[in-house]
This record gives sequence, structure tokens and C-alpha cells, in this order.
Amino acid sequence: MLRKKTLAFISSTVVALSLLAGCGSNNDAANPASGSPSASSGAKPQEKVEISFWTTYSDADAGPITALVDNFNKSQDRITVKMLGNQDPTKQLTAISGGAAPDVLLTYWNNIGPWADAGAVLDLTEKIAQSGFDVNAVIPAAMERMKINGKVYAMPFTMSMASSLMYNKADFEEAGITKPPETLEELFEYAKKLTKKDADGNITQIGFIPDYPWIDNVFWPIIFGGSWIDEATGRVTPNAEANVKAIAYQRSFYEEFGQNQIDKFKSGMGKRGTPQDPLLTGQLAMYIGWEYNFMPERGEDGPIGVAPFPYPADRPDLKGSGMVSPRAVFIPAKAKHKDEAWEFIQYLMQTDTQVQYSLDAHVIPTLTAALSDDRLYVDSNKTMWPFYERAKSENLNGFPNSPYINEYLQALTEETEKALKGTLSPQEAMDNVAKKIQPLADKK
Amino acid sequence: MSGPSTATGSLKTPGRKRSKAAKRIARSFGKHLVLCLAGVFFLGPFAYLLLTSVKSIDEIFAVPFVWWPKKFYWENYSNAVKAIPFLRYTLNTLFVSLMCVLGELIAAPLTAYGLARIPFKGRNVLFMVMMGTIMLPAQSTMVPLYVLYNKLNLVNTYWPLILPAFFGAAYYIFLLRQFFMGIPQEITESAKMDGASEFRIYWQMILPLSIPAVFTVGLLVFLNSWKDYQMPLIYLNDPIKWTLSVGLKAFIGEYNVEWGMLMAASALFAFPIIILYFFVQKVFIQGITMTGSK
Amino acid sequence: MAKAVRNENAIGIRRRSRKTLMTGLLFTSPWIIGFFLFQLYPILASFYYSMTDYNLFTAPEWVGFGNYKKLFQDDKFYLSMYNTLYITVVGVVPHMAYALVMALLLNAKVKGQSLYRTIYFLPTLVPAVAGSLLWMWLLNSQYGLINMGLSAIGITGPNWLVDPDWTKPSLVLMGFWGTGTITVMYLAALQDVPKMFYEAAEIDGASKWRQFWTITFPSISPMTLFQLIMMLISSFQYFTEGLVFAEATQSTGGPENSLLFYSIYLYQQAFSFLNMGYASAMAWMLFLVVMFFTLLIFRTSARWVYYGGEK
Repeated sequence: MLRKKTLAFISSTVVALSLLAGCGSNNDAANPASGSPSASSGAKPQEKVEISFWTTYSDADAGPITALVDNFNKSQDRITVKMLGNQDPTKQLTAISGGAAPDVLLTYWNNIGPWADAGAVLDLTEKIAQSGFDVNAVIPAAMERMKINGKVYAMPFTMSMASSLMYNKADFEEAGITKPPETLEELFEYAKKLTKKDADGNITQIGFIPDYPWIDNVFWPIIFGGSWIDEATGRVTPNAEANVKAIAYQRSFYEEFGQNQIDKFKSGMGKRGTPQDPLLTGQLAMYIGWEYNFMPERGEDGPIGVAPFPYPADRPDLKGSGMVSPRAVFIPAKAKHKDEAWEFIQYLMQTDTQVQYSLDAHVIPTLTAALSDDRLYVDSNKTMWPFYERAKSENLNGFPNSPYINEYLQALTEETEKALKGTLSPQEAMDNVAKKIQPLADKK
Repeated sequence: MSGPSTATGSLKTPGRKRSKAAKRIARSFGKHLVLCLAGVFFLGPFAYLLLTSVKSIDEIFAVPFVWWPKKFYWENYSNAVKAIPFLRYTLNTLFVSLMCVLGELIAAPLTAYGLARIPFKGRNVLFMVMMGTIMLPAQSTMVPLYVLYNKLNLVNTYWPLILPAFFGAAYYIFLLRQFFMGIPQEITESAKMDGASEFRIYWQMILPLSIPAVFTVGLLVFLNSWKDYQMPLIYLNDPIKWTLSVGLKAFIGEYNVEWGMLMAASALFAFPIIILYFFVQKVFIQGITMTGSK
Repeated sequence: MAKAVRNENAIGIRRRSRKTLMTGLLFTSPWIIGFFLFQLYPILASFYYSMTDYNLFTAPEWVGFGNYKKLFQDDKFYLSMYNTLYITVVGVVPHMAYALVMALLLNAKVKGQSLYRTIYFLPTLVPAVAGSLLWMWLLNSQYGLINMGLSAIGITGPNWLVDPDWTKPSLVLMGFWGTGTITVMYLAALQDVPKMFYEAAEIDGASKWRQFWTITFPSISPMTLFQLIMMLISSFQYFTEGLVFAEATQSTGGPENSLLFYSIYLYQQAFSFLNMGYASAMAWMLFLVVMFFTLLIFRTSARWVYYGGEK
């Protein structure tokens, strides 16, 4: 009995719902919103082109970019941009490869290398020449990441930057430290001073962990002035002297404080980005800082201090070094509306747009001119000021983009991990990377 | 524990009977004890979810861990529901899931019956081909499948999520095949002698005998479709068409996560399946009485 | 005369077997049609890719068995296969046995049965984000519940999430919570065990233990076969949990690649390195391995699986 009733209930709900949803999707189909240019609106004599724009941002972060898109849509009457968030690289790749490419995509910069090499990304050289876009107005370290074999494939819409040292002010005070470390050697000494152990030899507070929160295989070599490829000879250079030094320096922390002790202490630290963040609680005294870390807490009266990241004492020329990680916007080679897409990208790369976005989303603009724009220097934006300054440094750098970039980065992470644990010497580990990656570099 | 009624009862009953009753009580107590202990283990994750959903961010990540929130942040729920088109996503998900259940319950038992109870030539080969299709990791067929749906103009519709269910998934077919093969031949033999068609045997004898199995399949299809993230993400390009699992990502920002709202929304997300499950497992009990009466 | 009868018989048998074939095909036609419509092309395409150099965009370049040869020289192919075999060998049988025990307990007639049954299903419904937070806390080597419990009985617990020797056991441990669906299927199977068997055994005075092995276990053996095979297949394709876990340690493969499972490496090759040809060869290699084990299990199943419908 119950069965029949349940079945009847289920089937009637299904029918009702399918009617409901059926109506819904019919409505959608009637709307001129399904990716094709809409000639149906009728009101305007001009043909308005709709372009689709996919981003990685989920709703939590999409506010500022939505505002920009709305602005663009209102500013002219030829192009409508339809934005879709939450599109991760796998989806982006599947859609482009599967023949349903949108017109513009925002993605992580390290996708550009392999995707461009595979022929999925439109070479922008021609568009740049035609429209007179000034590539030199873009921060070089960010622009460089968009180039594969000298050709520009994307534009760096925004960038993240690691060139700061963030520290817990209370920890410093307690240890009697009055100013942040200047050089890497000082950083090491400070870390020792800021590390506490209990009677059993267990760490209760640590000064600095070089691979927290992750193994940074790009940041550290940049700090030491390292390189990854010799353009002239085509040799990969992960085992260059500076790179090896960068690993050895990180290893020295493990030798000083003990592998097991650090591992154990690390696993007891609070979760990053929550009120229990170890830098906030003071469990950790110093940290490699990005512009998005500790946004409110790094204010003047806040618990977190910000300083330029230290440099090697014997290389004062490397002062102001840092790593840049841009977010790229690009046009798929098979996009339907390339011209309109390029117009939209140009809009994204205007000073006004960049300034507005930096104010809304607290990111670093990628136009040199925008970095000095007065509109950014309002009190409400004060925590960003030092980062705008540091973004002007000539010592900013990044990992060279290439078709095999992801293999290269993966190999670096794996081998660095071994070197940090002491199973291999830094030199051996980096030699391994060269051995693994050189064949890939030769192929391309 | 076992109340005053047993105590007074034991006063009146003779000794032998009492010890038997005591044994029974002891045994049922033992069962309850085991179930309760294991229940705590199983209740853990969900209790954690519910408690976290009403905590402040300070308490969620407090060290040492805080079980019971000092103050209940019920607004996590109302905020979560307001932050995304919750009702719309729920209806979308419900539609997709129910359609999948409908499709799977039409196609899977039929195919399973064919494989289990009709000894046709090549049925073992067919069965192994079917098993083979699920041994290939989905990552390697994802792109060609997308190409296919794109050619059929079905990207950004619900069809890629629903259509496969109407042709039966190997997992459920295999499951039902196992059930159908377990039903004794004698039960259907006399009907066959009387000239009943295979479909009639399937519809009037085998299906009613397999109610627990069919409901289990329905539940699993619903559950998997409800929780699926990858397919809706890949195929739906209109936020208004999204399902809940994709919609929940709205609370996860790149650098900060709305933990309270995320947990509240996750609890709401699980709720419909709990209700459904509660009713499905009731059918199991009904199933017992059915087999018992035959 | 006799010959004619025999002929008639033969024709009859043939006709009947043709009729059986038609009925069989008719019943299985939903899946067969679906196979030709939606599955055959992706499968063939993936097989073709496995013989080519293919980056998902430019036309595939034929390399024959080149990708397969390369597999055998790839350290990470062996490593990821080892990790996958580990989680399969250590995980599948305990999870299954555990689910069965739970199903037996939940099938016992006790008050509040419905409630218990619902409780046991709950962990399956906790979304991965919430679940992983909980794991991180439970498995934390400093203040996690598990290590605190262990230290209470004088054992120093391992650093579950960091020590490469313990990351996979952590996953197996957490897997017990995900056995809810298996328990449900076993519960459904238990409903089909004829009650009269137990009544007869009770009269014979057989112990519960004996009843389980002589009645329950054989009766639900078709379900055990199903679980064994499906869990084997899904364990060989172990992906999501491993990825969630590894991400908590900020890398794809977890500490020292101890969580680099076969499907994760395959995914990385396909979607990060754009070696779709190589990834497809990996997929087909996995297919062969899984098919081998599946056939092996089916072969032995005649000895321990009893179908009531078979004579």
C-alpha cells in the first residue's frame, strides 16, 4: 500500500517539477542569453554583440569584478559582457578543447604557457599592434609572465606579490627586537631569538619557517637572485649557484631547530587565515607576506607589522626583490568574438579600471601609472600603500612561463622537499630537477 | 535503566522465567550498548557539522577544540540562505535528482533483469563490456564526452546530467542483477508454464519481490546526483541553472572562506537526503513483512 | 520420420534460443542503446588518444605504443600505482567487513532501529569541506582527538598528516565513515534472506555464529561479490579524498608524494601537463589491471557466491 502511494507521490512530484523546470528553461531559451549574438532585442537598430567572460572567482570574491563588467556594459552600447564565475581551470580547459570556448577567460598565469603552446590561446601580437596598446605601461615582471617564446598571449589583469616580511609585533617586543631584519643573515638570527622551547626541548614558539605555508620554489630563488633558464643556451638552470644557495638557506632552519621539532610544532599551529592563524596568535613570529594577508590586522595599530623582505647581506643590489604572480586574461584561439573580446580586455587594462579594481578588491594594479595614482592613496586604503610602493621595484621577478612550466614547478617542489628534509643535498636535488626538465626544454 | 515495569514483573514471575527475561534484557541491553557506542562514532561528523554551523569563526578554529558554542549564531543559516539563490538551487537540484531517479528506475531494473534471468547468447560478454565501461577512469573520457554533448547542442542544459540515467548506469544494473539472480527460479517457473510473458514476470513478480533493492537504488541515485559537483560545473554555464553543490562554492573565496555560512548551508544541503533515507529504510521493514507473509 | 522429428526439435531449439536472444536484447536495450549513443565514442576516442601525442588542442599525432613504453620508464607511474594498491589492499576488505557488521547490527530488531539506521548513514551526507575540517582536527598530531586518546593509554601517536608513512593509513581510517552506502546495500540484501532458514536452524540449536556462516553469509554472497568488485574498481580510481587530503598539505601529491594516487597523477598529466595521450595510456593500463582482478574475482566467485536463482 505504502509503496503505491510513495510511487504515486514521487511520480507526481517529478511531473510537477519537470513542468516547472521545463518552463524555466524555455524562458531561458527565449532570453537572448545563450552565448549567441542577440539580434532579437529589436529595440536598438545596432547589432549588439554579447561576449562571454569566465573567471575563477566564486561569488565570495566576485563583487568587484562584477562592478567592472557592469560599468563596461553601461559605458557603451555595442558589446554586452556576460560574466560567469567559479570556472576552474579544468572546466575552462574542457570547454575550450571541447569546442565551446567563451570569448574571454581569466585564469592562473601558469596555464598560459601550456595552453598557448598547445594552440588554444590567441596570439595578441597583432591586436596589440593594431590598437596601439602600450605593453611598456605594464609592470615588466607581470607582463613577462604573459609571454611565451617572446610572443604575448594574455594580459595580467591583476597581480599578487610576495616581497614582504610580516611579523607579530608583540613577539618582537617581547624578544626586545626593535626593528625588522634587514638581511637574510639577520632574519636567521632573529628567528633564533624568537624561538622558544620548553623543558623537554619542544618548540613552543618559532621565529620563522621557510616553507610555511607551502614550499616556495619560486620566491626563494628570486630572493637569492637565482634563475631558471638561460635563454641564450636553452639550458634550464635550477642548479645555478644562487638557486642552490636559496635551498641551503631554507635547510639551515631545519638544521638549527630540528626536523622533527618543526614538523611537530607546525602540525599544532592554528589554521591559516582564521583568528587562530599562527602569526596572529604569535606561535609564529615571521612570515612571507602577500598583499592579501592580514588585511585589517596589518594596519598601524594592528598586531602585524610589515617590512620589505630581507636580502642577502653580500648582495645589496637584490634589495626589493620579490615574486610576482599575476592573474591572466586571454582570448581563446577559437573565440567567436575576438575583436570585442580584445576591446573588453583593453578596458580591463585601463588605468581607471585598474585603480577602481584595486580599491574594491585590494589587489595590486599591473599598470605602472596606476601605482602612483592619487585615488589609491586614500586613508581607507592605507594597508595597501606599502605594496604599491614595493610593486615599483625593479627587482620583482617571476617564474618564466613556458609550455612545460607545470612539470618544471612540480619537479622543483618535489626535489626541494627532499632537500629540506635532508635526504638529498641542495645541489643533488637541483641537479635532479635539471636532469628531469632539460629533455622537456629541448623538445619545445 | 529498564524501568519499573520489569522490576514489578520479576517479582511476580517464577525464578526460571525471570532469568530468561533477564537474559533477554541483558542481550538487548548489550545490543543497544554496541549500537550507542558506534552511534557516537557515526554521529560525530554530523554533530560536528551542525555545531560548527552555529559557531563564530573564533570558535570554529579554536585551539584547544570547543565542542559546545558559547553563543549560537543562528544567523549563519538565514545569511546563508540569503547569500545565494538557495530555493532556486534547491529546486534545480531536486529536479535533476528526481529525473535521474526516474530514469534509472526505468532503465536499470529492465537491463538487470535481462542480464540476470534471461539466458540469451552473449549475455556474459555484454555484462563484461558493461563492467569494462566503468573501469576506465572518467578523466580520460571527460573531454570527448563534452565534445559529444557540445555537438548535440546540449551544453548548458540539464540533459547531460539526466539523459545517461535513462539508459541505466552499470553500477546500479550490476547491483540489481545481483538481487535478481538471488531470487529462486521456482518462484517464476510456474508462471512461465502458464505462458506468462517475461515482461509480466518481471513486472508482477520480480520487481515486487525486490522492493528493498529498488528503493536502495533509488536512494543511491538520488544521493549521488544530489552531491555531484563535477558534472553540473562542467555542463552548466548559467548561474541560474546551477545546482546546490556548485552554488555552495559561493562561500569559498580565494583567501577567505565564510565558514559559518558554509557549514550552515552544508547542513541544509544534507537535510533532504536524511528525510529521504529515513523513509527508504522504513521500506526495508515493510520488505521483511512481505517476504514473511509469502 | 525420426530424422524429421529431430530436425523439428533442432529448429524448435534454435527458434526458442533466437526468441530468448530477442527478449534478452529487448530487456537490455536501454543500456545497449545508451552505450552506443554516449559511451562508445568517448571510449574509442580515449583509446585512440592513448596511441598518440595529444595536447587536447592540436590534432593527435600517432605514436603507436610509445606512450605505453614510456609508462614503464616513469618512476611516478610505479609510485602512484603502489600508493593505489596500498589503499586498495589495506582499505577494501576492512571497510567491507565493517559495513557488513554494521548492517547485521542494524538489522537486529531493537527499539529505535530507524533512528540508529539514520545515524549510521549521516556521515555519508557530510560535504567534503566540512568533513576535511573535521579530519584535520581529529588527526592533528598535537591536539587531535585520536592522538590525545592514544596518549591517554601511553602511546605516542604519529604525525598523521605529515609523516609519509601515515598519510595513507589516515585515509583508510577516515574511510570507515564513508561506509554508510555499503551498509545500506547490505541491509537491503539482508531483507532477502528467507526467514524460515533461521527458524529451522533455531530448532536444530545452531549457534548464531554458525547461523551466520551457513545461512546469512551465503545468502548475501551476491552482494559481497558486488561490493568486492565495485570497491576494487573505485579504489583503483581513488581520487577526490586523496586530493582533498593532499591539498590540506598544500601540494598535489601530499608529503613526499605519498598521496599521489594513480588517478591523481593521470589527472595531472592530462589537465596540468596537457599530455592527454600519455594520460589516456595510463587510463587503459589501469583498465587492464582492474579488468584482470575483476575477472579473477569472477572466476573464483563460482566457489563462494550462491545465487538462489541458479540451479
